[in-house]
Amino acid sequence: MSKLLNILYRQGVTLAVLLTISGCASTSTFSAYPNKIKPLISSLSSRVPIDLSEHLLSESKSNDLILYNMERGRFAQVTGISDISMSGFNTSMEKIRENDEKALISASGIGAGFAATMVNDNAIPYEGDGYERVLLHHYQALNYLKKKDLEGAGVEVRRANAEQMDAMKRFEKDIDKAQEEAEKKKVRSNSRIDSQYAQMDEIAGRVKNSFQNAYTFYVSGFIYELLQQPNDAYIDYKKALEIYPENRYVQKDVLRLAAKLEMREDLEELNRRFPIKSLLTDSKTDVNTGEILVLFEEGFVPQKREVKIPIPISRGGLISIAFPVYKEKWSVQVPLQIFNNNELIGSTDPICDIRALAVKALKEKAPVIATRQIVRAIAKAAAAAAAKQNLGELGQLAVSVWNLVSENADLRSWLTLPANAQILRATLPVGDYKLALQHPMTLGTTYVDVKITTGGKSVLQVVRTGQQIYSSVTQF
Amino acid sequence: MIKEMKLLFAVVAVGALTLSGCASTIQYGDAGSAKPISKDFGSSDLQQIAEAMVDSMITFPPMVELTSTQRPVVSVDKVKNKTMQHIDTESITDSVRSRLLRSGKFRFVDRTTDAQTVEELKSQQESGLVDKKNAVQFGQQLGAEFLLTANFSEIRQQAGNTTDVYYKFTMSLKNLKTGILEWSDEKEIRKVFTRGTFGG
Repeated sequence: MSKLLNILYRQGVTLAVLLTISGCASTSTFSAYPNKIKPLISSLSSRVPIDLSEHLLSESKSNDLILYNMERGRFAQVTGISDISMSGFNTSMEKIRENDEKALISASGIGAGFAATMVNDNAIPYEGDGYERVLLHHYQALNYLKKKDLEGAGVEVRRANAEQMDAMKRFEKDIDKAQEEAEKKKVRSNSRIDSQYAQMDEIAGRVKNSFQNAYTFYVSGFIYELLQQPNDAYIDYKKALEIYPENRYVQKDVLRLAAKLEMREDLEELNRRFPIKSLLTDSKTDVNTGEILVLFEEGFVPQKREVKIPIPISRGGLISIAFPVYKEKWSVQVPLQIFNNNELIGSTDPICDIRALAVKALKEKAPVIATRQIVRAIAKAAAAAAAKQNLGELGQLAVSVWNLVSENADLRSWLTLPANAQILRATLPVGDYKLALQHPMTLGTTYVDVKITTGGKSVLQVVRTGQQIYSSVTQF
Repeated sequence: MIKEMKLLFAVVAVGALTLSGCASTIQYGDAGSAKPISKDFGSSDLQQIAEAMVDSMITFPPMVELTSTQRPVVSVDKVKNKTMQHIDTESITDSVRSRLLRSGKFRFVDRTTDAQTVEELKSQQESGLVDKKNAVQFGQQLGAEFLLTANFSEIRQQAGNTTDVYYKFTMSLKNLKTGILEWSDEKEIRKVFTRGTFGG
């Protein structure tokens, strides 16, 4: 009798733990994350408004608050509600900071780790991938820019640059840790898992790593130019050129500043690499001209899909594990054309493929995910075996069902980000313009009023979501 | 049975103790206290900077000589924030300025209230309410002879669990007539943050 009580007691504790985990675990533990963000994305691509004072409000205070606040912040930014966007981004940043400063071994970390072992990766509070953290500061800088707070924008781009460096270090450490753990727990790499990830190589191969992007460096350089710090601007333009050498506008800006700052050696080398003499002549500053910078972002980053792979375990039998992968047809980046009175001013040049960053980030994390996944499979198999021993076949069945139901891939990522970013920079005669924006994916033409002042710089931000075009102009 | 009751009591007691530990407290702190609580720029850093700058400036021999016979008029420029933090740099210059003012050696022009000043003078001149004889005329303010400028930068390095943050605040006083830098000094603050191994 007492033995039965003992067993019941033990099972009760397990059940209670599982219930608690599912109760406190964040919102996407048992329902796929992309479904949560669908309303935001369809609102952006249809212009049917969503009330942010209600939507995803409880999620923005959950364990995954970093992620939900990034989504809300981006949504608010595109729809032109800068204040909500800024406070959303701030909340994410503060939490990221808190996490980074938290003790290495913390009670909450152990809890999440245990939950992840018994349930799935969604139980680990979202921390933000390297490229997301960089873009978080990048977009916050754009918020400050819109408020004409150049000093604030400067702070954010410096943070973004520091984040690009930190992400590199963190990435190296994480990979080492995963390898160490894999060796300790004798996890061998699984060919079926590897082949799933190999399919993403085509797009991931477009970028060297996931955390450095030319777009952020370019915007950073531009902000330094606005702050009258041409030296700092030159350094960031050069970094952008290193990552994305094909972009004509970046080439032009690097050449222009190299000439202005009298970087003779650099200039010689640059002229050899980019023999476009005409670039320098039309970049001369005239008293009666001003500049326009167009930041064009289109589409949405791809969403992760779940793949279930059965893997054999040492105790005999198969256990299925769920993996996040990207399975998407990669469309080409289409430039935006800008006209003034039917005369083409120019078309945008790609500067960052954010899809590639997302895919690369998942590839970089693959060894870590695989190790955790296999450890979990073993733990779940062990739980099933223990249940059989203590509770018989019925107990094993119950635990197996739990294993099946709880095995969900971690599909979380910042989904309201654009698929790619493009830029255009041009010098125009002073005056008031009604610029026509044309893109083959949208119906008709969008008109934007832009004022060009002597020596001034106007920033035109354009976001295309489906057939919708969102635009805003800030003048400096 | 009695054993179980005892256990229950023990659990409740432990629970109660844990809960009471969570109660928030509030107390007054010393505004000049130099106890660092984070690696960020904080109130004690602001105090340190203001103090160091003012002490350095008013004890600098050429400044002592200059201010022994007159009280030069100074204008304060905005601090250039080159750090990775959103700092209210105006409050640094405010602190420096009020300390310098209280030293009795300098006078300041305040450009931030220029718009209100123009408004006030206009109403004195034009509203007809103010006696023409003592209405303040335009064009009688003193021009600044010196310009106080400042730069604030940050270098952050991370190795393992240790983050080393180095702040440098540089301030200069420029003679507007001659263009000569009459005084300049810098204050450095270094903070080392080590991430704990165990914690909540």
